[in-house]
Amino acid sequence: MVSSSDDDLVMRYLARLNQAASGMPADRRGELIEEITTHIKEAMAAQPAPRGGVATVLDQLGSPEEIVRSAGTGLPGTAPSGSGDALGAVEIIAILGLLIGGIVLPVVGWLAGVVLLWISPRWKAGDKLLATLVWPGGLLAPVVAFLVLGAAATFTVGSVCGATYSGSGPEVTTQCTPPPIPPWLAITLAVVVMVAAVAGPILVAIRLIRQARRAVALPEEADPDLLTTPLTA
Amino acid sequence: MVAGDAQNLAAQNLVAQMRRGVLPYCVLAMLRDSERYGFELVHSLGTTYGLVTGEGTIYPLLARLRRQGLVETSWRESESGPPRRYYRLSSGGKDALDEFSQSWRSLRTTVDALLDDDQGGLAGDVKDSIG
Repeated sequence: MVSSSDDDLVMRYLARLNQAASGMPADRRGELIEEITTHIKEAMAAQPAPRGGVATVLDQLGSPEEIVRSAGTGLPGTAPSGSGDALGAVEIIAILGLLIGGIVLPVVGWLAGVVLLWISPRWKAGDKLLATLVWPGGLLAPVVAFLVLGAAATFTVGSVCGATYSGSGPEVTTQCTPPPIPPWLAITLAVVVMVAAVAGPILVAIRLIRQARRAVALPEEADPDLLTTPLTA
Repeated sequence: MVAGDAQNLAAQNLVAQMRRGVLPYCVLAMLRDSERYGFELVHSLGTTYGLVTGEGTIYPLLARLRRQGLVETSWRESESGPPRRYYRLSSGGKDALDEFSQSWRSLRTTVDALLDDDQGGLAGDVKDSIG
């Protein structure tokens, strides 16, 4: 029994198939769609009916895009351009923008890098997120960190001494409160922060470069005509 | 960890490639003894034998085999629905299947022998001579 929501599923699937096959010659496209349609009808008419109904049948068919790929025509416009090894201009400028854009053109330069980072098809979302968060501003971050640490240093590293006058007589007691953070600890922390601030963007940039240079996976190639190439070649 | 993942991926890719490579011959083999109709072929290869992840991808392959003259088709009426397209081997298809069969058995024997050797035949001999 086919419900109308089943019909919807099928219609949408076939519409996707039609769309995906738009690059195929018209006669082959028509034939493929007809065969898939018949397949679905056969599957639903089979005894026993498939568990899970139409959804299972469509699942077993696989995605329309996959089917069209196996027909040997590339999907229009979705294949990444360029060979596997060379970094594209987009990728190069993105990495430069992320690293030094913040210094060359504060805020704007780094933002430009971020935009190009996310536009590029070469990187996975996880890597893009990493590159955006470590660190905002790129190598501008260590510069900012340095300034902030410098300012903080005057408050935390030095002792704060004040002079107080005791009530009677001209005695002056100088009281120094020990620094809230021992100097050695403060210096260590500062060094750690600076190293992390500098290393972060650089390591991320290296990772981006390597990821972009990995051979880009091409859509499944059409099977060569195996049956016409000599088997013992 | 990264190297291991890359290698697993490569191994999976190889298996996928091998499946894709033998798939046309598996279709021919299924037609050796009797003719079958499209849905039957596709469902067997895809779901029963698990040779492809999407059954739909077999239809373009069938179309290609048809164009290459390795299978022939005919339409038959069926009581339970639309007319069905039946596939059968052509003589060219039979020849191709036989030739593949020979090559496959020879390759399979060689690879099996090498794999079995690995279990301690050759290597075991080397170890024995050292230890």
